[in-house]
Amino acid sequence: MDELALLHGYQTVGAMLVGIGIVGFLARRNMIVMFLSLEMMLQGISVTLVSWSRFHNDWGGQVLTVFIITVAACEAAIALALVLMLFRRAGGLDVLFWQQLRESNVEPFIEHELPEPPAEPADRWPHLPPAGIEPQTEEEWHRSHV
Amino acid sequence: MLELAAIALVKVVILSFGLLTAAAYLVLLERRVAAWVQDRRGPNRVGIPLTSIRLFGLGQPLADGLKFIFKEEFTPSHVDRWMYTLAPISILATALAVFAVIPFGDVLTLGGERTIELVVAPGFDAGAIYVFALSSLAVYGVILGGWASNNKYSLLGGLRSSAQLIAYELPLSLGLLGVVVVTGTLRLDEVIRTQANEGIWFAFAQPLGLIVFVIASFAEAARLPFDLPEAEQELVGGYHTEYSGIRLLMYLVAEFMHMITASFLIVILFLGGWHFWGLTDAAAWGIEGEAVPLWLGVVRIVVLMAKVFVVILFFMLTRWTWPRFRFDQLMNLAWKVMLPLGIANVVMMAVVAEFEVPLTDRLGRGGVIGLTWVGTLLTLIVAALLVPLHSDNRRRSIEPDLFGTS
Amino acid sequence: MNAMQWTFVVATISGALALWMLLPRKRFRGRRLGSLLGLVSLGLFASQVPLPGGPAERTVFIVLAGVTLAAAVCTVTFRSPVYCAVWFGLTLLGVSGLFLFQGAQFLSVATVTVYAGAIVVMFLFVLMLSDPRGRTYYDRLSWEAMLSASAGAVMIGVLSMTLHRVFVPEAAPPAADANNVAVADASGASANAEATNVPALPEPPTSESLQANILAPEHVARLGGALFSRYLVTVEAAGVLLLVALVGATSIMAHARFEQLRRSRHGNG
Repeated sequence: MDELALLHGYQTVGAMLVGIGIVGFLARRNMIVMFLSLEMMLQGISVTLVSWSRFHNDWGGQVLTVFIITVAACEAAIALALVLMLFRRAGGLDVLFWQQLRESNVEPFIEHELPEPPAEPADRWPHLPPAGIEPQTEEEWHRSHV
Repeated sequence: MLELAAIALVKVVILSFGLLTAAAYLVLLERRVAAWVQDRRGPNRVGIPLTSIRLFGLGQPLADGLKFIFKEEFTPSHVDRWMYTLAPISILATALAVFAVIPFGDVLTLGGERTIELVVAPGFDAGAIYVFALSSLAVYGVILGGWASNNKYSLLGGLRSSAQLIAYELPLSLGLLGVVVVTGTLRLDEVIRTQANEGIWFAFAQPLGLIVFVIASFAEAARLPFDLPEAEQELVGGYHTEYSGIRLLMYLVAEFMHMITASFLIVILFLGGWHFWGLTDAAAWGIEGEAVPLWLGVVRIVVLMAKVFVVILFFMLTRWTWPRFRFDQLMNLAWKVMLPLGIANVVMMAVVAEFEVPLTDRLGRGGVIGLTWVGTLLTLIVAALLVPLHSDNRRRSIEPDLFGTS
Repeated sequence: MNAMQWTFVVATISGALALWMLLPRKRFRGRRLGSLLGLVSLGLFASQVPLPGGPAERTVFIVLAGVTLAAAVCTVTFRSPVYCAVWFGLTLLGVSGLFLFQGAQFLSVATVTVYAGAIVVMFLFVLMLSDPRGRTYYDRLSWEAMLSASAGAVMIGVLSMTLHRVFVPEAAPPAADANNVAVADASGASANAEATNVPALPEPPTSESLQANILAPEHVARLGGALFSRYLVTVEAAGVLLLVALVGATSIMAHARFEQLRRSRHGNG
């Protein structure tokens, strides 16, 4: 009964990882995050495989997981090379820059409204200990970001 | 099971305190060694605090630690706060966690029947790879520290040093693989036992593996001659430019931890671990049977620590003797020299391991080792002939002549 | 519909709501409520899983699985891609811990070495080289957030329900419900008619057989033995695949470099 309960628990965790990976892949627009969700789906499957390997007392599940790791490494290398190429062409990591590759009967996705710009941390001075003197400037401190 | 947990907890506590104290005193040792190399005295005035007893400067680490703790600790306003804090934590945590599989001796026999293995996690079958796994995690601390500092120099320094760390992971693994192929196990205590039973250290049996592993360890610990990541003349300070106080202390302590880990690995894998001929053999002291008496266990621990100390001194001497590599020379060395040498080593060791019985019958064990030395010399000669000198700064044509214009 | 099925329905719906609230949207509020709903959903799903072993093992499993799943949700919902990569690293550490808990020592360290130590570092490199700050507009928007969240949650719900039905067969609803019209909800009530056709699981292995094979002390030796005897062709194929990937990645970058050089040559010459 212990082994069954362990198997059940691991299968549930694997299923959840795959589900969360699916959500990430479908919802996010940044190509890197889409690939991360893809890798997460592979991890969910690996968890399932390892638990079945223990249940059947057979090495096949762990062997297949080793191959999944190998294939994921190859795929990540090529995918990242491609993503870098696409970034150089399009100037951004948005997957919607490449909408022209969609099927012919699908409507194009048009951006209606942009999100509100992120709030810049305006007045975050370094924290000085009580003995320090606060700086006396009024003008805004604009710091260029990397 | 509770007993196992209690024993492991005791080992962990002793190990943590011992390592952190050792890191502090190694800083002092480094400064004294540097001074000795440069023909001056190092810090020798801070002895017992509040007195004027100069205990050869042994109170210096205490003073340094207190200075760091009392330094003004501020977070610059332009950094990414979570990653800025997470990066040094991750690198120090992984540097300490590596010691879970490193043996500190053989076994301690308490009371005649209870044996305690001097590894925090005995019986962990994938010991050597665990070390490399955590070394790979240390790269995160470097990249995230460089990125979170929101500073172009830090970002460049972080990317450069992480590229160096990743590049030298391969020769490190290949050096290890040569040992693993011959011993057939990944457990570090088994590697020591194999060397003890055979009576010969892998430094003499696999010289090429030793060369590759030592050079790769220098690069993995970011020590000179590979210390471009932290060279102040190059990138202002690299990935730890924007750090101060305890966070900087974490980075520096983690670097010393990496050096200690590298020394331990060199000693365990290539220099025989706790084994020394005539000193640690049970047969030499006339002890029959399998049981290792307590004093012999202690002797083995002392021998291991002495060897690690010698290797750490070698690390420190090298730092103050040689100039550092330029970044492209460094990467060139990793990919074009160390990697082929490592592969040649693995191939040689695989041949030796596969044909061990017929070779030993024909040549004897000394002959087999002579064969590996001959192979090493041949490989080094071929590598030297094929790889141009690092001091060769002539302009090399990198653009192929495919475009029709010359 | 008994209590067990209602639990799954509620868990699925709250999970969908939680994911929708946490995904980056144009008007991004309700993160705390989303996290709370996510925890509730996770707890409800976990309550249907009978956990193995004594209190120590149960605690370890809950901590490992909880960390893994929380980090997974954070991976797909954070707005800065560097944070997503770091959360994915934590997910991998959790998965490695889960492997270790099962007794797969080599796989746990291999996962950390290859995935967390090489692949995610590669992701971080590409991020640093392309878009380090992560403050672009496309990072702060999702694409059909409600639909993707519902799809994922429904899939998790259906899978969990199926697993529960297979592993805990005495909790299946009675076959007398076969004549009911299927209620339109997400927990797959159309399986009511086939409640008696759930296949039986094979016998779980005994502790001795496990100690002899999978949980043997010489774990790596046995795994290597299986790899190089029964699965040798696959190992060689994986080697060829790695070679092809190496050549492919290099040629992609080299081709781009030639293009760049040619453009600069013909621009200047």
